[in-house]
Amino acid sequence: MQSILNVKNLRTRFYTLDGVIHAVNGVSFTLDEGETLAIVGESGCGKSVTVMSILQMIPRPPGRIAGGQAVFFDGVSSRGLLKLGEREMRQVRGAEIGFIFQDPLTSLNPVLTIGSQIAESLMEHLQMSESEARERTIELLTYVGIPGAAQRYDDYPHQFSGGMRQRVMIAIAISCSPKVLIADEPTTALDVTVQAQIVELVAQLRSEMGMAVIWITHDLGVVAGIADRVMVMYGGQVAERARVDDLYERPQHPYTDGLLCALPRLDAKEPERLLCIEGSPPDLLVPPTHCQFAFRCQYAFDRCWADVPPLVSVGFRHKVACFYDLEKGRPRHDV
Amino acid sequence: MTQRPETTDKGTGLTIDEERGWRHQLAYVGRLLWRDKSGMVGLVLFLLIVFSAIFAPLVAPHDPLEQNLGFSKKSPGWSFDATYLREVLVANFDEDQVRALCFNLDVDYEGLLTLGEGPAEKIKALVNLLEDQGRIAELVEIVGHLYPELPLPERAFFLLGTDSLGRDMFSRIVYGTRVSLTVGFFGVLIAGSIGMIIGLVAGYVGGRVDNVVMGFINMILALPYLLFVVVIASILGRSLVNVILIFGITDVPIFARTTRGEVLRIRESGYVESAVSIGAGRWRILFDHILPNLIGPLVTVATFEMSGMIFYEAGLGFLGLSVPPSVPSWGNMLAAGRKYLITSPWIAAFPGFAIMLTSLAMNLLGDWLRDVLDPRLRRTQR
Amino acid sequence: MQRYLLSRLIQAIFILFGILVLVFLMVRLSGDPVSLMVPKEASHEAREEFRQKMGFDRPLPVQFWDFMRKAVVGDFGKSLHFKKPAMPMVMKRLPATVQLASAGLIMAIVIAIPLGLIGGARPGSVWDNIGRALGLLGQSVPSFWLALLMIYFFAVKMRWFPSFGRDEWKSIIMPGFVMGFGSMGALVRLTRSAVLEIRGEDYIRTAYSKGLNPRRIYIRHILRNAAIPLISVIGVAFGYSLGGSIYIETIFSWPGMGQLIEQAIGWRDYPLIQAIAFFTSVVVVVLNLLTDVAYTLVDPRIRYEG
Repeated sequence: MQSILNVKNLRTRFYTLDGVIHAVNGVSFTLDEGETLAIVGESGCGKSVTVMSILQMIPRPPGRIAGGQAVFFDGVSSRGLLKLGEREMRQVRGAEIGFIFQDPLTSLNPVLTIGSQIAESLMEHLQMSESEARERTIELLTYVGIPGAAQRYDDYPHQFSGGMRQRVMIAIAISCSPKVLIADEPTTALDVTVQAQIVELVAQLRSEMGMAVIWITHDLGVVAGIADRVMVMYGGQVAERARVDDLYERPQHPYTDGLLCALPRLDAKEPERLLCIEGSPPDLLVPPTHCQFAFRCQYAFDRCWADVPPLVSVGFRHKVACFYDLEKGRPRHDV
Repeated sequence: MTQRPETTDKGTGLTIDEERGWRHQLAYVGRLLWRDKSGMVGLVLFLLIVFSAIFAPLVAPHDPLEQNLGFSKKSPGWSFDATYLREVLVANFDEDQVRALCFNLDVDYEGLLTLGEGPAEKIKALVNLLEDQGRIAELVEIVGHLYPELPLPERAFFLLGTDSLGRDMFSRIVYGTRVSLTVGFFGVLIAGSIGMIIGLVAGYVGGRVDNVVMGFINMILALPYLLFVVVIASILGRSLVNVILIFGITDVPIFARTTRGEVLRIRESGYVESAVSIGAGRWRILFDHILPNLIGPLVTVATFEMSGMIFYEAGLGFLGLSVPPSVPSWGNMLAAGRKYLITSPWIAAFPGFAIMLTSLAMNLLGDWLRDVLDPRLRRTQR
Repeated sequence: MQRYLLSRLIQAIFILFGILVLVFLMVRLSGDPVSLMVPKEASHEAREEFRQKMGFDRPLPVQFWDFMRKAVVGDFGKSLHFKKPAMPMVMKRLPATVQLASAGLIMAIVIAIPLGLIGGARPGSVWDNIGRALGLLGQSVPSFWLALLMIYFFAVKMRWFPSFGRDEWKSIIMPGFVMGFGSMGALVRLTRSAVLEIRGEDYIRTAYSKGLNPRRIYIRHILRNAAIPLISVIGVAFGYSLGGSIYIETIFSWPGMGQLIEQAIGWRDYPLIQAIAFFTSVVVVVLNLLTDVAYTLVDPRIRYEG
């Protein structure tokens, strides 16, 4: 079975007055039909830039996609997304790949009704008339759990609560029944209880509509609830990639390990201090010549400063980029 | 593991001390100016104008007040003193000589329109005609050829021509910078000082005082500014001090509002609260936190307001409500030039151009300052 | 929304009251209003007669009360020059000035907003540079100078337009353009910066992620949001034009309020000047109120909350 999305060696740079920022340095992953991939990492690690690059939504100056490919297979044909012209790209965006952004308040146009913001997607991609689009929009609003949808069609974003607004965003994203839904930290700006509702909603939609989902977050707790596979990013590169259970049970990268140790656990036997990872995020102004995480890694040794660790397989669909073998407690021999 | 030295997070590779040194800051400003060349143009122009104002006697080739009707309304370039020429000719020529002159110049002696009888009248008419036609130089040449012993006027050079009273336009424009810059500078100084104090009080004390002050400010800002300035100027009379006072007082609101805005912004941001929580007193907060942050916005506003005041002073001068007509001010000059627009357009054109150039320089400078000062000051605040 | 508008209305009334006070005090600024309005050569008896006739001999509070009382019903006394009631004369002149200011504003909008839009959409392009140059010039060029230059070139040299008067449709082109020129500059700059800022907003990113047609994004999403600050700038610019009409009406002999006040200053006809000053202020205040109303129409956040 072919993957719905196959990203190989993506490289994106930003040319700024302070220097060249190497935001994404050789990121690869696949997304299968119907599965949920979570992309995890701290702020600035490149997770948003990665998905925005795939849809060619990086602002062209100062950004530039410096290499790689992103093949999109919609069940009929394959397309190299990075090579598409703007007009073809527009057909993919919204219709075949939907997007949900982090802050629903600023991500919705304040001077237009929410109904019209959903309807315009329908009119643009599915060529619906205004009344058809209105009808379908009301259906969508009900589907995502907004009560009194028919009346609320003409309301404005500021008249909704945060959770409701995110539902509207979801309605926009799924309006044309896309194959892939990309959610960029959709719950970060919401209350915890509302978070859970949104996560549940997306899971429900995913199973009902058969979408594949890429869920970007820095919250490992959310990942556990929704992901099939996880990709951990650091410094613009992939640190580790695995199925969700494997990642939680046998983390292979010191960074992943650190992240998991920093999570408070309900089943802890005694009160334990939360371990935090020392140091600050890497400086992306220089292209990596060694492991980006070496500064903050307690296991770093001389090899880590000499080369960039390649992604190697450590299990079924489990890859890691590290010279140190966490399980065995010594440097890897086979790298 | 080796430790890297403490660098600033801009990735330039310098240490914090090196970043803050004054030499580096100056070079930084220089780079900013170079990058944004329009700001540089504005600064250079502005400095030129200030230089002209301060060293006006050196820059101006003629005395701006010296009137000589013989040079009245001369176009830019070399000219002869027509009155002096007339006097020489009247004193020395009889009718035959005048006829001969007319013949040489291809002018019909009989056709010359005169007020009275006699060669003297004809001479005056001839000179007037030639002046209108711009052929005085020809006349001087011919007379010089035929009568070499006659004392003839020397040529004088007027870079931008002369006005109706024979005064050199260029020199007057140069001296005009003094009026404009004085009005602008002192006007902004007065308005800025008063405005800053009012804004500080309103923003810092808050409450009802703030409401009352803002009420006043909004009221003044709601007025048709120009109209009231004109009316008040007409009431107070023509003098430099009056003009400065008018602008100094009517421009207070914008400084007050800017100051108040900054004070409120700082109050609402975190660090006043934290300063208070570690026990800093009111005055300390004022001087350490608020005042340094005011410099940027106020200087930017001051630059724009100064440009505006120069504008308005010229406007008042155009209506005859600014400084007395003897003082060379660009507005006065424009008003005088309006009468002679068709025949001698340079009398009005050049002063206006000077106004535009000055305004342009200050606007460019203000734009550059606005881009540079505000975020920079906030950065060094850390 | 009602509360917002109501508070604005109350503010406006207070402002008008304040302006009345200002207009009243204005003529007493130099001390004696009589010496202001009466020629220097006038005899002492003539001055006292005048003082009594105008009521300047009464105590100040009485004068003020009388002034306010009359002002509220629109009675600003008689013009000294025309010997007719002042306010009706002023109001008759209003249409001409409004016509001029409107023409200027329309020209400014038609030229400036598209330029600003293109400038914000493609910063650094040729049109952007033209727009920015216009923005700078609009701020720096004195209107009275521009008027003279235009008369010289277009009226005298090229004979395209008449240089004064309000007789034919062509008469409005040059004075209207000069009126609008300053606003043009401000509008280009504002449109450009608004478009630039809005382009970076999250909801525009959402619009792009929906795969919408860029033209639709610009007009429906960007412009609609840019309209909000634009409305208040247009309102301010219009009010500003009304003040600047003094120069343009004087130079082009346009029979509006600006020309009248310039003449009145020459005649020292201060009752007339007071009437004009107050009336113009009323117009500006009303204009600001209209702008506030327009604001609520354009920004739904104010409509459904404030």
